[in-house]
Amino acid sequence: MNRSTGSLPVILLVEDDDNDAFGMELAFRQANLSGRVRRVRDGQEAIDYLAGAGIYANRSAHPLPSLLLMDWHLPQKKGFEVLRWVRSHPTLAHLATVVLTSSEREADKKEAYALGANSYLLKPDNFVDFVQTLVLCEGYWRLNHVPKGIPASSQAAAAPEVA
Amino acid sequence: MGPVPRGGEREPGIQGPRLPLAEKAAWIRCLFGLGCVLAAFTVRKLIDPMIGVHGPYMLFPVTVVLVGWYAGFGPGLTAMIVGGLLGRFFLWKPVSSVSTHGTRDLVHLFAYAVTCLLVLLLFESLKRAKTQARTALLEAQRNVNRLELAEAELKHTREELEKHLGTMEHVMAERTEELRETVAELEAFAHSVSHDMRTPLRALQGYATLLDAGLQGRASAEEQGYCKQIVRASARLNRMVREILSYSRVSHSKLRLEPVDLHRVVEELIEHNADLQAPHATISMEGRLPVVLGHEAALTQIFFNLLGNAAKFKRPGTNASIRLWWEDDEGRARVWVADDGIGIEPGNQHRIFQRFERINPATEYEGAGLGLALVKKAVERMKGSVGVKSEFGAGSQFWVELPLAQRVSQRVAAA
Repeated sequence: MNRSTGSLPVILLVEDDDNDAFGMELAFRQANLSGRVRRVRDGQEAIDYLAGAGIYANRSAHPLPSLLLMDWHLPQKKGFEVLRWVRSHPTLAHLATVVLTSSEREADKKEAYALGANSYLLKPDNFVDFVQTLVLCEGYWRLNHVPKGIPASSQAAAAPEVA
Repeated sequence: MGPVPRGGEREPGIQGPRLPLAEKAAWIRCLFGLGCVLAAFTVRKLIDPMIGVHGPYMLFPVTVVLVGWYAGFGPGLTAMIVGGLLGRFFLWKPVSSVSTHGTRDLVHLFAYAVTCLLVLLLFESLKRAKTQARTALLEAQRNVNRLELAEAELKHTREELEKHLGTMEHVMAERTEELRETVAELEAFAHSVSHDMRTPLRALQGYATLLDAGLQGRASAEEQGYCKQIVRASARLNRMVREILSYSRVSHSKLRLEPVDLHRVVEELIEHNADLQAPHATISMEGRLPVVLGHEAALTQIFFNLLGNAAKFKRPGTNASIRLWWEDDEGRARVWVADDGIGIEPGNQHRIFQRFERINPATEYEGAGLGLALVKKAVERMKGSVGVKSEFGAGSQFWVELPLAQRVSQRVAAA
C-alpha cells in the first residue's frame, strides 16, 4: 500500500470527537492507510464533502470515497440524516457505509440498518484498540464487489493504475 | 319508562263503586239501617189491609239486603233483628201476642233470620275479599313504584359512574402519557450518558495506554505502574458505566417475547467471552437447554451476568467449574447455573438481587453492584422468576424460571 494515494480510493471518516479521531488516525497509520483517510467533523460536512459542495469542490483534493465510516450521534446533521441523504442520492446510493459508534441502543442499530447501513460496529473501549477494528473493516470492504460506476475498494485493488 | 312520580301512590284501577255511606261512622250506618226498617215497616203497615196476615216479614228481607249492601254487616244485622221483632210483634196476627201458633210462626221467623244472615255473611265475605284484593293490589302497586324508583336511581348512578369512569380513563391516559414521556426522557438521558461519558473514558484509556508504551525504558518502574493503574481504573469505570447502561436498557426498553434457543445463547456467550473459557472457567451443559419464551438480548445479558459471576466469584487459586442444567416444571423451564465458588452467606442471600448491593469488596471482585439486579429485572419483565441456593464457601446455585416456548405454543394451538 505504498502507491500514490491520489489514485487510490479513500475512506471518508465522519467523527466529531478529536480524541477518537486521533485514535483512528493512529490505527490507520499503523495499517498504512492514513494517507487515504479524509476526515470531516459533522453530518453537514459529510454531506458537503460527498456532494462536492463549497470547499470540497476540488475532486482531486477531495476524491469520492469508496467507504463511508461514520459515527451515529453527530452534531449538525445526525448519522441517520447523512445515511438517508446518501441512500437517496442518484450515484452515491450504493456507497458502502459503516456506522462506528459507542451506542449499544437497539433502536439505533435498527434505525441504521433500516436506512441501509452496511454494517454497525461498536467503538472499542480503548481507542488504541481501533487498529484491530479498522484493519478488519477496511480489509473486508476491499474484498467487497459493487457494480461498475461506483467507487469501490475492490475495483481499485484490482486495477490500481487506473487514475 | 316515563317519569315516575316520587312518593305518590296511584289508586288501583279496579275498585268498584265507592259509596259515601260505607265510610261513615258505625252509629250513622246503624241509624240508616233502622230508618230503612222503619220505612219498610210503615209501607208494610199501609198495605196490611190488602195482604192481611200473610207474609209478616215480606218487605224486611229486601230491606236487610239493601242495608247490608250499602251500610255493612252491623247495620244489616241491626235491621234484621229490628225487622224480625217488628214483624213478630206488630204484623203477626193476632197482633201483639205470643200465641201458640208455634211451629208456623217459628219456621217463618227462622227462615227470615237464616236468609238474612246468609246474605249478610255473603256480603261481608265479599267485602273482605274486595278489601284484601285492594290491599294486595295497593301493595303490588307500591312495589312496582318502589321498583321503578330503584331502577331510576340505578340508572342515575350508572350514568354518574360512567361519567366518573370517563374522567378516570382520561386522567389515566394523561398519566400514562406523562409516564411514557418520563421514560423516554430517562432513556434519552441514559443514552447521552453512554455517548458523553464513554467518549472521554475511551480517550483516557487510549492516551494512558500510549503513555505507557512511550514510557517504556524511559521512566521508572514505579511511574510505569502509575500509568498502568490509570489504564486499569479507566477500564473499570468504563465497565461500570456499561453495566449501568445495560440495566437502564433492560428496565426501559420494550421486550418482545418470542421463542429463544437458550442452548445457542449460552454456547455463543462462551464462544465470545474468553473469561468463560479455559483456563479461567470450565462450563458444562447437562443435556440440551430448552427453547424458552423470552427476549434474546435480555436472555443473553442474563446468562452473561450469571455465568460471569460464576466465573468471577471463584475461590482464590482455583478455576471455576460451572454446571448448567434444567428441569421442566409444568410448562416452565427452571434453568440452573451452579458454581463451586466462594458461595454466599445465608444472611446476604436476600440482598444480592438488590441494586447497588455489593457483598464483596470491590478491590477483590469488580462490579457496580448491578449484575444480579439486572438479572432479576430482566427475568421479571419476561414473566419469569429468579432465585439462589448457596452454601457459604462451597458454591452457589442460581436458577431462572421462564415459560417454555413449546408448551406455550401447544396450549395456544389447543385453545
